[in-house]
Amino acid sequence: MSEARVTGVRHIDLAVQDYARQVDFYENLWGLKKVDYDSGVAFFAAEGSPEQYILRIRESDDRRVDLVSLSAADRADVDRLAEQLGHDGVQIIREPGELDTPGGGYGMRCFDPDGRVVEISADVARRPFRVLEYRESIPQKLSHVVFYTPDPASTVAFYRDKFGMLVSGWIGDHFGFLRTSMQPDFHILAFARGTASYFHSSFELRGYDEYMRGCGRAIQAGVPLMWGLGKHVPADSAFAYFQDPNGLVCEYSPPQEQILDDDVYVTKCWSATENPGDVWGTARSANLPETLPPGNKPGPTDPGLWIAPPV
Amino acid sequence: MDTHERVRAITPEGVRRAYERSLEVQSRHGVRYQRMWAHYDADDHGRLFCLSEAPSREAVVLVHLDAHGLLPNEIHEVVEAPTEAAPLPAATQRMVAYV
Repeated sequence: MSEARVTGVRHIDLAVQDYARQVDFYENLWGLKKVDYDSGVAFFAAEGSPEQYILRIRESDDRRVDLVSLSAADRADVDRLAEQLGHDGVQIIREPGELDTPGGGYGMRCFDPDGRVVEISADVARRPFRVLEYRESIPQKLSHVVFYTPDPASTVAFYRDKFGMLVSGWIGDHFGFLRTSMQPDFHILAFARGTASYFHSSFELRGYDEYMRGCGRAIQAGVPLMWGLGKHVPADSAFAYFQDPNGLVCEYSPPQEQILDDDVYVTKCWSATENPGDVWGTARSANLPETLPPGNKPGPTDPGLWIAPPV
Repeated sequence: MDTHERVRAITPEGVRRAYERSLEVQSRHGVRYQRMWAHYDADDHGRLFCLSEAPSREAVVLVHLDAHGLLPNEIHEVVEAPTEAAPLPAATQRMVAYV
């Protein structure tokens, strides 16, 4: 029997103080589709993705990450992962069981080494979706989620060893990128050195034209542009980091490079001095006084660490 | 026809595995794969081209998701173009004559 592993990233769940503005932003400007909501909780899908939802917004007194959701192949793998994690001393928050979120399914929750909540689920029903058209500048899927961690090496090792994720690359020893064999984008999760906190989520548009149109829409609407437009060497993809109404960084990006044959791919390593973050030289002005782009500064420690979200 | 851009670590073995996985799952979504082509790039940014008969573009996406997760950048409905010289439409013939 092969080792159970996660297969991809499903959604990022965030709690914010200004719920109404956050919901309005992601529904009416960012281009997501509000597919379900209850009092103080809203679920957003990407029109181009069969995932039930890729973003959950919850109203809260604290701005925190509620959880990041990963997928598994089937219920048996959820059970096997829970058993392995429990055996390894990882704190399980919710034992495997039926899920009551949109799409149902079967899932479990645990803490990662920094206290983030990770949900792993299978058997979640797909939603009707459609392939986006040329020039349609709305997200087609959740591209990736990035966190800060005090110890990137051990955090990346946890996701590699406990969840069977694959390491695609490193910038120095401070920024590690992870994928899975069944979602072989260069990264679907990444960890950068900093206080344990949220960095950003990236929403994929179908191509470069749609990325530019989406960025233009956000810029014209006055959404703060924190870093970009530019292109990273890692993932060989463009980026634009915006700030949502609650001060969280949200990114537009076109599709990343993908990796076909895991047996021959060699983890890429860039030195910290190579400046792989801004291939085009367009991402920020050299006249800015900051040594770090404003979209790249770790925030305070996430207040949600080691605390299970109420939903 | 679906196309994949900027694919790293394209190997004949990797392509074969991906294609075989597509064949295994294609009937779930009413898709029938015909052929697949690969461009092996010296800079390790290859391309893949897959030809299938499918009821919709969404069905093609679902086969990719179930088979290997390598999603195409573009999916286009294509028809076979004539490969033998055929008489040009009259309007085109006039344009050609004036060039």
